[in-house]
Amino acid sequence: MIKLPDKYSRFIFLFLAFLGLGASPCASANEVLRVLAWDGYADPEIVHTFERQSGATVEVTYVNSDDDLWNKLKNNGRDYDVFAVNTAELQTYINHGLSVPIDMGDISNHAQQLSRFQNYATIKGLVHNGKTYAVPYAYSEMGLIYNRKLVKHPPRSIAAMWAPEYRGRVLAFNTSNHNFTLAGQFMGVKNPFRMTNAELNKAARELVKLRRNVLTFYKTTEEATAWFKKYNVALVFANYGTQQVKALRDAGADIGYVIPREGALAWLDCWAISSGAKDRKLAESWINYTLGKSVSERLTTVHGLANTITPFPESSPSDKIIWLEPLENPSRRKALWDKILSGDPIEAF
Amino acid sequence: MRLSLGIKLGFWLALLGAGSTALTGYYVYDRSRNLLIQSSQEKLLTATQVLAQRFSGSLKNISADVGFIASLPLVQQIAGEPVNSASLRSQEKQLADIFSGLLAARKDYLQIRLIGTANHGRELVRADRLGKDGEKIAVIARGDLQEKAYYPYFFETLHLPAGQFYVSNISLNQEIGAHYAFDKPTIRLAMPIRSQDNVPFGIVVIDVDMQDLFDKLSANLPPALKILLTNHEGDYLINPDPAKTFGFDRGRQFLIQNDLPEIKPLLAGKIKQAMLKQANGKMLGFPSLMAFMRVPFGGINQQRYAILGLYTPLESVLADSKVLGLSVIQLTLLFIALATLIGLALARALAKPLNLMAQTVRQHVLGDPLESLPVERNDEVGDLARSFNAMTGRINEQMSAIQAAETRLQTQIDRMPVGLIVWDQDFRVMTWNPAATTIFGYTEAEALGKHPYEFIVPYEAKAAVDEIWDRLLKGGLTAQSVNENITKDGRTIICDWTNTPLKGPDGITTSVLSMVQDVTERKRTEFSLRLAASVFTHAREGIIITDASGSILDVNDTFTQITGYSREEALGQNLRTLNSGRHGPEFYAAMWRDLTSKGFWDGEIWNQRKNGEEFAEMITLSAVRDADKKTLNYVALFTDITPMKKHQQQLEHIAHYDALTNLPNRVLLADRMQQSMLHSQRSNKSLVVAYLDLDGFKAVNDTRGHNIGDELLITISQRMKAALREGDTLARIGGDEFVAVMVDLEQPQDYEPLLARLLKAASDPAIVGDTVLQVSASIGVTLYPQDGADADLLLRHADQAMYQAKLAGKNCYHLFDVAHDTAVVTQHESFERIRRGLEQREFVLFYQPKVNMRTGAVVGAEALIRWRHPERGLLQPAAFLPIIENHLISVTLGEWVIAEALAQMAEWQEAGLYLPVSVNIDALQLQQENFVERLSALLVAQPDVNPSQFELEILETSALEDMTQVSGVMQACHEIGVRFALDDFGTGYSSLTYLKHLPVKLLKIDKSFVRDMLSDVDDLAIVEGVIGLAAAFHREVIAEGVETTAHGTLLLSLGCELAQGYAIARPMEGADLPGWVANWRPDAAWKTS
Repeated sequence: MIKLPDKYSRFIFLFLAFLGLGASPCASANEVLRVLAWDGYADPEIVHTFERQSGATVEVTYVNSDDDLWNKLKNNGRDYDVFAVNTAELQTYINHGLSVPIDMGDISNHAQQLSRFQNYATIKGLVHNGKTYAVPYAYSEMGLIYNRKLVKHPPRSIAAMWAPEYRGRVLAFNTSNHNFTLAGQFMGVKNPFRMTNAELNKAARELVKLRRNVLTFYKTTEEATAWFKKYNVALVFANYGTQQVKALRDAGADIGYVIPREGALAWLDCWAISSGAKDRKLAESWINYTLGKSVSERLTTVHGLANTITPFPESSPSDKIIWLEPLENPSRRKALWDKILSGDPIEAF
Repeated sequence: MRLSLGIKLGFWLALLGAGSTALTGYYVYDRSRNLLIQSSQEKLLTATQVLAQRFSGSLKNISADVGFIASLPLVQQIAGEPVNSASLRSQEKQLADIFSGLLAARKDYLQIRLIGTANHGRELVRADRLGKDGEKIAVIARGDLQEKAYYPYFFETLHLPAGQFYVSNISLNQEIGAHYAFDKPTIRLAMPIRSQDNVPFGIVVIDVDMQDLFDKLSANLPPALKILLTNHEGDYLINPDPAKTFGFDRGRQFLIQNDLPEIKPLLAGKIKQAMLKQANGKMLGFPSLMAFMRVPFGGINQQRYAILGLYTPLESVLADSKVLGLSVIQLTLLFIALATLIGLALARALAKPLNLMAQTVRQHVLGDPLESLPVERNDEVGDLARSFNAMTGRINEQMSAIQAAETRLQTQIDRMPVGLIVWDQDFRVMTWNPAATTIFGYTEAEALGKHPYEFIVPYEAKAAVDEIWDRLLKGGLTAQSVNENITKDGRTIICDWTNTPLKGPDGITTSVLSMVQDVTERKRTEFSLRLAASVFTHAREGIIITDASGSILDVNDTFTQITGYSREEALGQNLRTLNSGRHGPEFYAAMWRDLTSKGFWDGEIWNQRKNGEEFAEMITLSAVRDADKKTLNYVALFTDITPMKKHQQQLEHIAHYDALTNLPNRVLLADRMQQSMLHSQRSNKSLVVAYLDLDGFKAVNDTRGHNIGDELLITISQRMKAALREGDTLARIGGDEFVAVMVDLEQPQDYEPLLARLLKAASDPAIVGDTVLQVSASIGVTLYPQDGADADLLLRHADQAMYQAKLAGKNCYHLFDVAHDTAVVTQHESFERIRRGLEQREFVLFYQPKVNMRTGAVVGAEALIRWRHPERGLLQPAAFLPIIENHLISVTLGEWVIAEALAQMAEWQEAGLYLPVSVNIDALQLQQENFVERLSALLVAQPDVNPSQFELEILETSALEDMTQVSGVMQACHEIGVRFALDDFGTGYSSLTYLKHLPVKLLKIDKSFVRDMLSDVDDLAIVEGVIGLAAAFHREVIAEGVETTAHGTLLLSLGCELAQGYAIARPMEGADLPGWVANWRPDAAWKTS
C-alpha cells in the first residue's frame, strides 16, 4: 500500500463522504489498527472486510526483511499494534519486551486451527511462562523437489543433495543460515539450530562438499526455474517451498516434492501484539479475524502459502516439520558461508 | 454600495477586456508549457541515448580485452601443458604479469582470472586490484586460489563456442578475494578456453566494478538529471534509494515494474524506449519527466539487456514557463487598467443627463408638476423625460384618490367591532385596531412591530401557531382557529381567529390579515352546556324536561329505556301521557301543590309504558324558575323501581295469605276484622264471624295422605270463597280451620243463606285426582256488634260456638249465645283442672334434640310440655294450652316450664352433658311487667347454668302484637345473656323491618312449610325465603318438622344445617337424652349433600 500524503487522504476522505461511503457509524469508527506485515498477509480485500465488520480503520505497513521489521518495531513498538513475525525472530521481540501476551480467550478461531497448531506449547517460542505471545498464521516448509525424469525413486533423505550421482545437477539455495542447519541435519547433530563451533566447522566442510556437488546456489524462484530448465537439474532444495513447486510446474517441469525424513525446515509466521498497541482487544480481534477460514485460505489460493486452518494440498499430517528457531551465531554462519561461497577449498575450514 | 450606471458599464467593459486578455494569456502560457515539457522529454531521451551508448561502449571495450586475453598464445600453451609442470608455473607467472598490466591500464577492472575446469573450477591465474584508488595490484598466490565451478559465469561460459564471450548479470560481488569490491556491483565478461583438441579447458574472466561505470555514466549529467538502471528482470541496479539497489542479492527484490507499470512493454521488448510523465510523483516523491531505453549487451547468443532511464523533476523543467506566466499576468493587468479607464470615461458621458433627471425626480414632491427635465432633448433621454412628466400627472391624480380611500379605510378599521391585526412576513404587527386593543389591552403603539410570541401567544401554543403561520405563508387559504391568548394584564382568554393571507401581485403572501374576537365567555358557557348535556345523556335516571305547561321539551336515553317512548315520540307530549290511572286526581293535586309551594316533589308514582305495562318510578320533580320566580321548566328525574315493588308485593302476599289456599291468613284476617268492625260501626250494619272446622278432614289426611288432603282443602276453600259475596272475607287460620267474615248484614236472617251455602260448599263431594271425597263443616257463628267483644274474643266466641256445632253432630252451624256464654263456664273448670295438675306435678317436659345435620353436632334441645293426665293419658299441648291462652295461669305454667328446664340443664351438666335448651314462651308471659326479674331469679336459682345456653322461643305473631314492649323485654333478657328464637317463622308477620329490630338470634322455620316443601313449591319458596332472610339479617336458622331424610337433604342444599324433627328424634324424656346424644349419628346422605 502506498502511503498517501495527508492532503490526498483528506481529499479522498471528503470524496468518499460525499458519495456516502464515508466512515461507518460504528462506535470504533475512529479507531485505527496499525498492522505491520509481510506482503500478502493483509491484502486490501482482507483489510476492507475487517474494516467493514469492526468499524475501525486499518493501516497496513509492509516489511521487506527481518531487519526492516526490527527497525520499525524497536521504537518500543509505539508505531504499530500488531505485527507478523516468524518463530525464530519472535524470541528477540519477547526478550526486548516488544511483544506482549495475547488473550487467547479472544482468539476463538484458534479452535479451528489444524492439529499441528492446537497445542502452542509444542511450537517452540510461542509460549513463555504460560502466556501465549504469538498466534501462527502462515508457514512454508523447505522440502526437496526432484525431477521425475531423472530420479526414479523419490529421495527420502536430504543426503541426496550430496549424492555423487546428482553431481552438477543439484540446486541449493544461496543462504548461510538454512544451509548450515541443513548440514547439521545431514550430520545428524542434536540441534541443528544450535551447533558448537566444531560442529559449525564440520558443517562448513560438508557445505564445501555440497558446493562441489551443486550446479549453483540460486537466489530467486525464477532463477532456479531457469537453471532447472537449462541444465537438466535433478534435485532442488525448495527454499521457497510450495510456491516454488508451483512455479516449476507452471514452467512445465515434471517434478515431485518430498519432505525428507530428517524433517523439512519451515518458517512459521505468527501474529504478535506490540507492547505499544493502543487497543489490544482490536488487535486480538484482527488476529482472530485472519484465522477465519476464508481469510486464511486466501494465503494458499492467492499466495501459495500454507495456512493454519486448512491442510495444504499434497501435505500429510505425518510430515515432519521443523519450525525455525533462533540460531546460535548467525554472523559466524554468515562469515563461514561467505568463504564457502567464494570458493575456498575444504582445507580452509 | 450603490453603483451608478456609469460605474456598472465601466465595470463590465473592464471585465470583458480583462477576461479576454487573461484567456489569451493563459492559452499562450499553457501552450508554451506543453511545448517546454515536450522538448524536455526529447532532451531527456537524447541524454538517455547518449548514456546508453556510453554503457554499451564500455562493455564493448571490456569484451575486446577478454577476447585479447583469450587469444593469447600463452593461454593456449597453459591449456596444453600438463598439470604441475615447471614450464606451466612460468607461463602462469607471465600471464599474471599480463593480467597485472591490464589491471593497471583499466581502472575499472577488478580482477582478471584464468580458471580451469579441473579441481572444481579452481583458479589458475588471478590478479586482483587491491584498492579502488590505488594502483596496487596483487597476483594471488597459488594456495589462495579458489574453486569457481558453481558460478554461472564459469559453467555458462565453458560451453560457449570458441570466440564468443559471456557477459554476466550485474550483481553484488560475493567472492571474497584480495580485491576491494566485495559486495559491490560487478559485471563479469568471460570467454571459454579450449585445448588444442577442442576440449573445454577453462575460461578467462574479467570482473569489472560497475560502480565506477555507473559513476562515469552519471558524471556529466546536469544536476537536475538523475539516473535509473535495472537489469532485464527489472531489479534496480541504480536507484536514488540505495536500499532498493541489488535487492535480489540481499534477499528482497525491488522491481521497477512494481513502481512504474508503464515500463513493462519495455522490459518485454515490445518497445525500445519510453517517455513518461509522472505527474503524481508516486515513485520518486515529486512529479517528474522520465525517459527509458533498453540497452542490449552481451554476446551473440545472449539476450542480455538493461533498462537505462533518466528523470528530472517537473519543477525544474517548468521553471522557464513560470517566467512566461508572470509576463502574461503583467500584460493582463495592464489591459485591465486600460479597459477600466475607457469604461469610466464612456460611462460618465452617458450618465450625465440621466443624473440630471434623477436629481429632479428626487427633489420632486408628489402633487407638484415635474419641472426642469431635459424634455427638449431629441433622444432616448428626452423621451424618458417626457414620459416622466405625463406619468407624474397621473400619479398625482391617483394619489388624491388613494389618500381619500385610505382615510375611509382607517376609519372603518378603527370602528370595527372585531380586532383587526395585519402581520408582516416576519410575523410582526403592522396594523392594530382599537378593537384589538380592547381585546388584548395593548395599545397600537405597544403592539406595532411585535411578534405574537412576545406578547399575546402563550409559549405552549407556539407550535400550533407556527403551523398555521407556515400554512398561510405557503399560500394556504384562510385559516380559522380558536386559541388561548394572553392579555396585557395577564389574563388567559380564548379568541376566535380568522387569518387570511394577503398576496402580492406575484401571488406570494406578503402579509396576513387576522380578525380576532374574544370568545372566552361563549366558550365557557358552551363548556358548561356540554357538561350538562353529557350528564343529561348519560344519567342512569330517566330525565324529562318540560315547559311550564308540562309539555315535554327533552328526554334522555334512560327515559326511552324505561318508558319505551323514543325521544321523538315524547317531544311535545304532556307528562300526563305517562299516567297509569292508578292514582286519583287528589294525588296529582297534592303533588302539584308541593311542586308549586316548595319547588320540588319526590315520591313514587305508577306510570304506564308505551306498551301499556305499568311501572313504578321513584321520581323527583323540580321546577326551574327565573329570577322573578316564574316557572320556566320542570325537570323530572326518575328511576324504575318496579322490580323492587313487585318483590315487596310478593313478600306482602306471603305475609298475608295462606300459601296453600291463597286465602287471607290469620294476620290479614285480624286486619279485615278490624276494618269490618269499623265499617259495621259506621254503617250500623251487622258483621258475622263464622268459625269453620272441617269434619272428617283428619281422616282424609291420615288415609289419603297430605297431598290429597291439601288438594281437598284447596277445592273446598275455593268453593266456600265462591259461596261468599264480594266484600266478604274467607281466611284460613289453621290446618282445616277457616274463618268467614261477612259484612253489611241488616237482618239476622240475611246470613242464614250464606251459612247454608258455606255448609254446602264444604259438604259437596269433591273430586281429587281420581278419588271422590266428601267432608263437612261445623260452623260457629257470632255477630258484631251484638257480641260486643274485640276481634280476638269474637273469634274465640265463634270457636266456642263451632265446638257446640261439633257437639251437635257436625255439618251444622251454631250461634254463640251471648246471654249465657256457656263456653266460658266450661273453660273455667279447665283452668281449675290445670292448676291442680300443676300442683300435683302432672306436667312433664319432653325434650326434642336440635342438631347440625352436616356436622352431626347436637346443638340443643327444645323443651316441650306434656300433661300426664290421670284419666286421659299423656296430653299434647294442643289439648290444654288453648284453654289457658291469655289467662294468668299460663304465666304460672310458663314459669314452671322455665324452672324445670333449667333444673334439667343443671342435672345434665352434672352428668357431663352441656346442652343449650330452649323453651316456648307465651306472649302474655313476656308482657308481665316483672318478667325479666323473675327470669333472672330463676336463672340465679340454677347458678351452674350459663344463661347464654338458655333460649326462649317466642311465636312471631305474639312478638308483633306489642312490638314496643316485647322488643324492650327481649332486649333486657338479651342483656342478661338469654337468647331468643322466633318460633313458627313464616306463619305471620307484616314487615321485615321489625325483624331487624328484634334481638333474635335464631329463626325457626315452621314445620308446616318444612313438612310440605318436598311437594309444594310455594312452601319450598317460603322455606327458601326464610333461609335467605336469615342470611340477609345474619340470623341463624333452624327447621322443625324434619320428618324424613329427604327433608334434611333438601334443607342442607338450601343452606339450612340446623334441624329438629322425627327424622332426627321424637321428643323424649330428659333422662333419655344423654344416651341419645351419645349414640346419635347423622344420616349418611346428609354428610355428602
